[in-house]
Amino acid sequence: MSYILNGEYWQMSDPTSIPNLLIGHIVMTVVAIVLGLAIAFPIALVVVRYKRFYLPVTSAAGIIYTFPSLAFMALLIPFTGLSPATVLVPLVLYTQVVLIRNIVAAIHAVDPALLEVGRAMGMSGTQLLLRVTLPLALPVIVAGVRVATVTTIGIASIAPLFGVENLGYLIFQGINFSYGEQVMAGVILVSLLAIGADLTLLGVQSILSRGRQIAAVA
Amino acid sequence: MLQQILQFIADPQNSFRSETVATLELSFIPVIAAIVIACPLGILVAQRPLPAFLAANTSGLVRAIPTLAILAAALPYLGTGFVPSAIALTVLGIPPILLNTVAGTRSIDPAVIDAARGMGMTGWQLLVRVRLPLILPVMAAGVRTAAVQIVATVPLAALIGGGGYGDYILQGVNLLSMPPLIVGSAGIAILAVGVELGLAAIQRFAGPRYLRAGTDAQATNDEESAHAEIMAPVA
Repeated sequence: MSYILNGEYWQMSDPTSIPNLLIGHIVMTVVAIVLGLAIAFPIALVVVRYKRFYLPVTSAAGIIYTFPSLAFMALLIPFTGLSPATVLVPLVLYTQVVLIRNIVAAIHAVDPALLEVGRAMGMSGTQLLLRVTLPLALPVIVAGVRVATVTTIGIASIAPLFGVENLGYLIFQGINFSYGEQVMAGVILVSLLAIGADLTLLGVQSILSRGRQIAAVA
Repeated sequence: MLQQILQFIADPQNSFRSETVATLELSFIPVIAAIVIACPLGILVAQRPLPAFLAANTSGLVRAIPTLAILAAALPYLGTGFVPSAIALTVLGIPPILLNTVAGTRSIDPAVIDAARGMGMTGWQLLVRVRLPLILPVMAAGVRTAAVQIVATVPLAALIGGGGYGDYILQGVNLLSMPPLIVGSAGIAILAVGVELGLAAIQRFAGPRYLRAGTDAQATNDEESAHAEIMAPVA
């Protein structure tokens, strides 16, 4: 704990101070999730419309998810070097399996009667999607985002091996210099970030669902 | 390139054989240890509401903790080497198995238990001939999640001196040299995908035959829950 409480490690001018590493971790996670959603949404919409693609798409995403992160990032080094892209590409791909499954499940869970009502009111396809389907599907989608976020925070912590600094830096630096305090500081901060994100998104999820039952896939 | 890789594997200096053995040991010992700890614990705990609630929530919390953090946390207390790595990997594998065992036990229809009691089964017979066969498919899904997660984390164990293919990956990253990178990464990737597919096949055959031969809806449900369980954070 003394490492975390030491003011020396909280100076913003130092690029490897705790707040800067924390910001690096959060930025990387947010970028990965936003990119992940941007890719998963269109895929999920296609899969909802053409059901026969569901199994191949989710199976492929599942196999990608099985691929160990350290190995995945290491194999990208020849193409992307030691850059944020080396870490981001696997992070974004790992989010797909959870996000696609949840978006599809969320859209399927919308009562068809409500879509009929919307159509009867003269809504266009886009209006139906944006004003009926998405608001109703949101809690389940957020449940997927929650799982993806916790996963991403965890995997992102190995980024310092590839030259991108975040909270994992404390762990690797501490291991290299056999400095247990620093290792534990990294362990505690990364865990707190993951658990904090988990609980925050759980809160968002229950606010959005407003008492309705959530049947999340993940 | 291929030649360089083969050369790397053949070079006795890289001790490919012993690193392979270390990787396999680091994968299988923690999986078995986690099964031995989590399955009986899950069955015991599931019978009582409060311990079951505690077990489920603690497991959920531990699953949120990044795998790198669990491995690194072993370092200051247990030191470096094979044993701390194996212990940390075991800790990693317990929550998914425990969670599924508890969920599986609690999902058994009480009427089934009543029927078995009515047939005059003893507590032991009830466990071995009714509860276990019914829990097995769900438990197998948990084991699959845990095993894939453990195998995916094995290369990180090299950071705390656990050895295995992680040594190659770290060596490759540090020296920016391709042969060790590819040998280590491909080795661990093949092992992880193999474990996932192998256990998925075993899971299909776990549990009583009359459940397997059931309706398609049953089968897809099992598949769905198994997949849902695989979403554990892997780092």
